[in-house]
Amino acid sequence: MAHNKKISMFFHMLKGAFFRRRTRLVIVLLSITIASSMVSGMSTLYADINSKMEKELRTYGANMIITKTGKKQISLGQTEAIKKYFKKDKLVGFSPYLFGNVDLGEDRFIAVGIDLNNFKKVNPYIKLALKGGSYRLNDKELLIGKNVSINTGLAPGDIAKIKENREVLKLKVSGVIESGGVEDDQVFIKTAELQKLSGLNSSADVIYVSYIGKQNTLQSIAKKINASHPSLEAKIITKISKSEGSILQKITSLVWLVVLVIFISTILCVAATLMSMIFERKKEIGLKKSLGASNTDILFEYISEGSALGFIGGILGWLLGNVLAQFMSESIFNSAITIRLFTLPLTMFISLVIAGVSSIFPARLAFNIEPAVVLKDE
Amino acid sequence: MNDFNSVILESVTKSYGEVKAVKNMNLRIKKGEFVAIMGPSGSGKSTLLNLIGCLDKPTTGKIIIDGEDVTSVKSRKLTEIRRDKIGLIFQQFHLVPYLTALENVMLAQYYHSMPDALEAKEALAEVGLLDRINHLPRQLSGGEQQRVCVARALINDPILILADEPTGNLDEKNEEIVMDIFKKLHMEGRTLVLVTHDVEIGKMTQRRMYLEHGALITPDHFASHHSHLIKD
Repeated sequence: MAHNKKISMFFHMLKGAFFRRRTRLVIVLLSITIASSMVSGMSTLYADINSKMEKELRTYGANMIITKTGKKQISLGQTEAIKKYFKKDKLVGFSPYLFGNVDLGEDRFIAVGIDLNNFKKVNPYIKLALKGGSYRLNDKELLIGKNVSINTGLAPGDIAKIKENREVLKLKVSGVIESGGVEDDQVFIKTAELQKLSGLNSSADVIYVSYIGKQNTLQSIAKKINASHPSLEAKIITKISKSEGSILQKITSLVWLVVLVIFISTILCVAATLMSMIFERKKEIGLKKSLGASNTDILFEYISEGSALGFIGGILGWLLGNVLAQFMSESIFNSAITIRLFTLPLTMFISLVIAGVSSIFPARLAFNIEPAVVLKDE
Repeated sequence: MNDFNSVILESVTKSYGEVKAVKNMNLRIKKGEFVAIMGPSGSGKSTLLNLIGCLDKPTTGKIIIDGEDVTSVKSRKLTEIRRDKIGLIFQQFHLVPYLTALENVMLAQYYHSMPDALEAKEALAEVGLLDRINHLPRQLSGGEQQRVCVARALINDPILILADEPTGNLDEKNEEIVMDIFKKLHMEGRTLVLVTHDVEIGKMTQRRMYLEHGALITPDHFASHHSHLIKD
């Protein structure tokens, strides 16, 4: 009961101290809230950033290639078997390519037998080069690369005669595509058409895979494929997967650097505000000491004030941080974030650390206040 | 012998760098005595009061409060002595602005033992402020604020009450009220030490000590050198 009176008096003093210095406390609270919202927002984003960035970086195209080691082409059975090594939810694209050589007009070109839907998934950067065509591949249609169009004079809507051995196929040019790479010199037809034209019944010469995963995940899958299919060689396209890793690393470092800068500047801001509050309250502190308050009592009061601010700032910061993360995720990745509860204790901890560390110098100042000096009547 | 003395100072000197605010001072204040320390500004009155009030430590010499040598104790112990044995009254009142009159009195209880609103109310009633207990300092007159300060100084039943120019900021009417409270406390057997430069206030006390340049001087010496302070 008696103890309750002391606690009640303590909270009354705390409340009084807060309401008396509203403006300064709002500054401190805002600083802590902003810093903790950055921690909360960034850690929420960080939890999602790898998967979101990996998805985003799949616009780079395939990050694994599976080729035959000998002359024997990849059969349909092998293609189906290989596909099983990849998790469905992480597999962005799986596109077998069947190669052949065809005559088109006066020149000879590489023809690639593809399924366009899968082709698009592993080559998301390929676009139509000319207006008037479509980026589609139906039966009796072909897509030609930009350079093929220039060399042959073929344009969308034209009928192209492609010859291989004694077979001739009349196909309509559905569109002219451009990648800036080897695709610009190739013609693309449905796999079945190429099989018919060249008399092949194999599925592919090479398979391009676009898979969401880190370099070591890809390496592990490639190892398994190589071990169980000696006639095939699965390799990761290191220039893609390495640069992905490097981009992720740089983004992560940047995020934490920003958080660190905000963290330090907040501590400085909060410490400066608390210092000015101590100067403002030096007579009150001196009075309390003259009434018998020990340095421990004074320290406890300041820690309590700081902790209360840290606690409130932490909660507000966590809420604000989630809003911030949501906004950033929607504007950068076009998708919502998942609220991660683990960021709540993390944010609370960080905001309490900010409040605690910021209180060190003001507390030292309060420690050194001599009642005889500050209570000296002018 | 110590049992009869609340305060004993033996060869006490307080220096601030080269300046000696209190010089080799010896004095005794008996229990139940009402003493005025008088002197012009800068004579060392407040420094002396701070030393007696355990707010400061002497550079050399010995101070005994209620039989306890406080000269070489650690600051934590000094805080305890101040809390348990001394009641301080200031010229500027020094009330916490966001606490009511009652809470300001309870603040002294809070650091001493346990806040007790009933006791605090009684203390405020003693100084005639029962109807002002829920007022904030800014809602009180100077005299009322000083009476709250007196109630706060008395609440923990100290053996020694020290007042630094307690009437310095008060009008004549409130000066009289506060001095009447002090006289009453003296009649109750409390030991009071009052710092003042006002001779009229000094005359209301039981004994006067005169200070000049940090040293005690005789009343005659004081009278001849500070006649401007003496109105009659």
